[in-house]
Amino acid sequence: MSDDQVVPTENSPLKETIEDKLFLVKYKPDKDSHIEVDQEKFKADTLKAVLFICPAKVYELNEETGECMVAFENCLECGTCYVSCPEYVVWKYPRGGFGVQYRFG
Amino acid sequence: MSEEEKFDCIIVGAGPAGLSAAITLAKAGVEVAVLERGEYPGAKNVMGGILFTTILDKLLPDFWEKAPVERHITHRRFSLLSKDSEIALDFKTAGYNEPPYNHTWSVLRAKFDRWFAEQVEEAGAMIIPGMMVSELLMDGDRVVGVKTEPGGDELNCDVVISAEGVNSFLAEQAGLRKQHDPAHMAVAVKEVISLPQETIEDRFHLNDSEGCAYEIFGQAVQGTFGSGFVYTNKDSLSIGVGSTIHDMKRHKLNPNDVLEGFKKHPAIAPLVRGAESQEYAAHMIPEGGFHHLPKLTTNGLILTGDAAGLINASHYHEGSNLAMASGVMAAETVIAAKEKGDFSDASLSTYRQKLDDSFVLKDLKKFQNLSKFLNENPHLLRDYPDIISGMLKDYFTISEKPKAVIEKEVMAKFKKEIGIWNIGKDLYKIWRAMR
Ligand SMILES: Cc1cc2nc3c(=O)[nH]c(=O)nc-3n(C[C@H](O)[C@H](O)[C@H](O)COP(=O)(O)OP(=O)(O)OC[C@H]3O[C@@H](n4cnc5c(N)ncnc54)[C@H](O)[C@@H]3O)c2cc1C
Ligand code: SF4
Repeated sequence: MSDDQVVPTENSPLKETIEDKLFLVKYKPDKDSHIEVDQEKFKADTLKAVLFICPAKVYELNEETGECMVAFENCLECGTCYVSCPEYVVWKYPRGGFGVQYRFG
Repeated sequence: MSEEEKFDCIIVGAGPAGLSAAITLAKAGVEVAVLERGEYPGAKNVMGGILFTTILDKLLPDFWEKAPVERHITHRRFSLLSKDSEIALDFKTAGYNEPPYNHTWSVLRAKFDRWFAEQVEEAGAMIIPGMMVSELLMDGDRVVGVKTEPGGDELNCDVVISAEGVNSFLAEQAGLRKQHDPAHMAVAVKEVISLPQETIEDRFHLNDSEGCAYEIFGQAVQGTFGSGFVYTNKDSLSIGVGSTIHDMKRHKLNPNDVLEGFKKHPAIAPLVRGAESQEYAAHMIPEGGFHHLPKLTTNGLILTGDAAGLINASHYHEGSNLAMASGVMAAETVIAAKEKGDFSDASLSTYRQKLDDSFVLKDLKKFQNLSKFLNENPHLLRDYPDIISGMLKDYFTISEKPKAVIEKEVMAKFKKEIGIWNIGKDLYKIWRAMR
């Protein structure tokens, strides 16, 4: 690796998107979700901050139903979602031993 | 529940707070078990990466000879970013090259915590990973044990030390804290990116095992209430950003977008050029400070470290040593309580006194008004970097204008954009907030 490589490009080993970065993270997925969303309260919320604030993009809007889909297996276990949106996010830890497994931390 | 399952003390969490408490108790012959939800200690733990080690050095003298630490920090840099410029305070000294290396080391927590836990086990504590405490067992208003997942087993003890970190669900169950406030909680994202050791040493002007810590404010986090960091490890960098959840929400920001903006800033891009992403991580930081501390004890329960909100969120960014100090003090409190046979709140409340008398709460108290002040004066981190770098840019721009004219123009601009009086007021307020 030389020192004069230029700014990161799409194929750069220096990742940019959350999707690419999540590939680098090691998980031991549990079978059941540790996250629940109260869909009615979610629908009633205008800001829907979970859709943009989650560092792992775990929450996604189902355009057809207006409901919130939860990719719980990608969760990095920070807790930001329930602090940000306590009205409709119920977040617990995955069971002991499951979930994210940082290799560096 | 059989009698042999009763411990003197159960510690929830094998981070710096829990492990420091455990080793202190084990050395005193107290029967202690540490329950950790990660498959191994460190599996869930994220930190920027500067471990402050005054306490660790007392617990495990000369730890650096064996511990998986990365570099000792001899170079500290604090800077403010505007959109295209950087203003920095930069300090380095070879004076930190001797033991105990100014008690400042870059570490990667997944590696370090695992090693620390092994030392604690050797000292006689039992460490049980892969075990999450789902709730406290109560007898009236007294904590008498914990319930664990998976399995739903119940373990009894005289006293629980919560070293469960920032989420602190058990502290909430015990009624010691209220719901988390997004204004006092930061979300941080971090990447570990690898570079050859030689490149790091050349790029950051480091000899051998020396390391540096850059703390970066202003446009590093798009003018929100937070900061960015770049720390050198042996053959990788830790780079990240953090801001309050309140601000992220208000500005509709995604933490990774802020991190990418930071990595692409002209002052930062050359530092990360050619590096390879190794891991991405996210974690919260409790930044409420002295004004928002929870109650720290109740009957049969003591809170330590991040679970107790013990973070010095000023420019010092210290949490690891406060966690370790509070772990040791919690253990000392338990040892004294055991001698008396009294684990009531009244007996355990000497813990708060110990913290008050030490650097832990003295430092939190010193900076108690800083975050409130910065929150109430968002222009400081949002506007000043642009104004000041604009002035410096004009000042250093080469032209055929006589220097006297340039100086006059810069001063005139300064008076117009900030005003002597306003900057005087702001500087005075900053000084007051830091006293
Ligand atoms: C991005 C970032 C950068 C930081 N940078 C620095 C820095 O440079 N220097 C510094 O000094 N500090 C820094 N900090 C702060 C520092 O990381 C914390 O203050 C410190 O880790 C607190 O230690 P702790 O033992 O209290 O909690 P933690 O280290 O969080 O440990 C808590 C432990 O408890 C376990 N646990 C939690 N709940 C349960 C449960 N119910 N059952 C079983 N186990 C449980 C967790 O898995 C974890 O192992 C940073 C923090 C972040 C997020
Ligand atoms: S805990 Fe963090 S990573 Fe997991 S869903 Fe919530 S915000 Fe996303």
